[in-house]
Amino acid sequence: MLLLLWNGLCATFSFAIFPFLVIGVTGGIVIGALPGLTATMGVAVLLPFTFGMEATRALVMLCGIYIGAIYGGSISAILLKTPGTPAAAATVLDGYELARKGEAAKALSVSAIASFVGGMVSTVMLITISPVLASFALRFGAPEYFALAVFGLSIIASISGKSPVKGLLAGMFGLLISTVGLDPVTSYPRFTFGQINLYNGFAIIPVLIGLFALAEAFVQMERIFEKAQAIDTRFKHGMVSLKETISLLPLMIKSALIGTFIGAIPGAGADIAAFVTYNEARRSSKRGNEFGTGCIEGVAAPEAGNNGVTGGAMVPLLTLGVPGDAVTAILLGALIIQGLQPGPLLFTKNADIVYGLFSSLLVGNVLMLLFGLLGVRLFCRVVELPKRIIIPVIVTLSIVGAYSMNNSIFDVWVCIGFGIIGYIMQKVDMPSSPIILAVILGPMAESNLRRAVLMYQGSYSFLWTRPIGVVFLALAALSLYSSYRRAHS
Amino acid sequence: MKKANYCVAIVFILLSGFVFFQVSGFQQTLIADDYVGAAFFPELLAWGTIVLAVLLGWLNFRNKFQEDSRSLSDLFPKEILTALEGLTVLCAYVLLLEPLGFILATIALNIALLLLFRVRSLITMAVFPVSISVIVYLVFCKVLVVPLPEGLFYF
Repeated sequence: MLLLLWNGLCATFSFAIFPFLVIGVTGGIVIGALPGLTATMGVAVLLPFTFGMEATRALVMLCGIYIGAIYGGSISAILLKTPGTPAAAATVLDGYELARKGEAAKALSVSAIASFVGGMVSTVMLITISPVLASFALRFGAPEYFALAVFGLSIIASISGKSPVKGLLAGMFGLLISTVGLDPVTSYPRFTFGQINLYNGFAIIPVLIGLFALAEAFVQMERIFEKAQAIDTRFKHGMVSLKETISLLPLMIKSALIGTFIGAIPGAGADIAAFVTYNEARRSSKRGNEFGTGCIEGVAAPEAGNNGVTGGAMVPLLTLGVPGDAVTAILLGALIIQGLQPGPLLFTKNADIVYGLFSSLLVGNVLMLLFGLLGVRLFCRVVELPKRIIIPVIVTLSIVGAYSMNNSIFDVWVCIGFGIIGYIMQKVDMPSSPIILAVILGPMAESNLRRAVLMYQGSYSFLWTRPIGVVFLALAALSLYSSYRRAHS
Repeated sequence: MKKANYCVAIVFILLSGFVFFQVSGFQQTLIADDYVGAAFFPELLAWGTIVLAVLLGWLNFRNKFQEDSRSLSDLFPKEILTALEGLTVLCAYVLLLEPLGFILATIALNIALLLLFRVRSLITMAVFPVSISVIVYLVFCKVLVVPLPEGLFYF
């Protein structure tokens, strides 16, 4: 394993890959810092740029965008009280208060360091846990994969914000979308209406870009003439001191571990991890009462937690082919486009690519720290770019992204259609992430359920006779119950 | 918001009805499928959707959602017209994409959006649409070899 990792590090520093990692991390930070551009949207919009690239290069760039964007979201959260990404929503609580006190540089530097610690801890966990999980995953058959898909889908309820019922409905809609096209078992055309373009179902990329990028662009168009809230971003105090950093280290590591664990659960993402770690930091801190008034721990914990998700979310993605969150759902698409099949065999068939990815995550986190600390002043200017310029760029890239997947105008119309759906869903407080998870997990759930029933000759006894499946189904029930409890507390 | 929630529930019930209608037309396949043929999963989902939609309506009726006094006009204010105009521009762009080609159509799209957003600077109006179109075209077509619509003038 160490030899593979060393080879991966050598490859990462090669001229063929390193520039793409630098571009990815830098681009990710800029995308994350721009309000309205999420990590998911950044990876989705820039995915078409990787179609013509070699697999390692493409994945390294996308992962660079991912880790950069999760950190970048904190920049506008701290400076403008506008989280660049949902993952930075918890950072606003204390980050903006620190900025108002003239301690923006301190908040931004803590955010960079905490994100670095979170990313590194989660990558180390990914490297050490993934091979073990991969060997475990080899025992999976159709019943286990079905139970796993159900578990992944059950977490939709917990990422549905104020209303799990609306999230579950969105998930059902996503599952229905996933049934469009030829039936995976009998090849019978379903909901195709004679349209040959629908025989393969909806392509995931136009759906993703529509639901996230275009929907957000429509929302921003509506608010285009609103005056943005601005604050004084001049720095009255310097960056965080070494002493303060050392005192924050245990909290960062703890938050990173929580973030990694949350990330490894399919369906749970960086936004949840950030709030969970923020709450845990508040609960365990002696200065818990000061949280929300400009407490540095209130920035360190959610930032370590949300970047902890980056490595954690890749554990189920690489070992089981199940995305940990919306970004890794797109990365799953990227892997498939590159001709790679995520799952246990990826570690044996494409070990060079996997360890190249691990190495680039380690190096990418170092780059993120460097750029984060060096670029504090520059970021203040990036977030000041006018929306009137950003929106046309988003729209252009969205259309190009949707078209270039299959060189199909039909896909562009699909993208616009889902953009409208996503826009209306935002209006009625309905989350769109469950649709993406359902579209990804739907075919896995359906085909494995039907295969399992056929294997058991019409019997459903596999639901209680296969131990691994039972564990996943129990976790799914627990997840639904805890979402219900949280929604009613 | 209460009315919006009822609308959501009704839309999903109608969607389920549509699924049932479509599924009823699926022909039985020849293989022995233990009752899990092509119609099985969509039907299962349609039942689930109906249950959840009814639950949403019931919870809404019992005021189980957080206090939200926004009316339908708050959810869809008059500023929505800007988004609708943007959508119209976008649809026109997609229709023109193949006949005009990527660069010309994208320049037109960006000029239209800047006009919609009331950008007054002539320099921005002249430089931004051309530069974004050419940069994206060069990056996609020339650097990454991803084809884009060529149109009348082959670019």
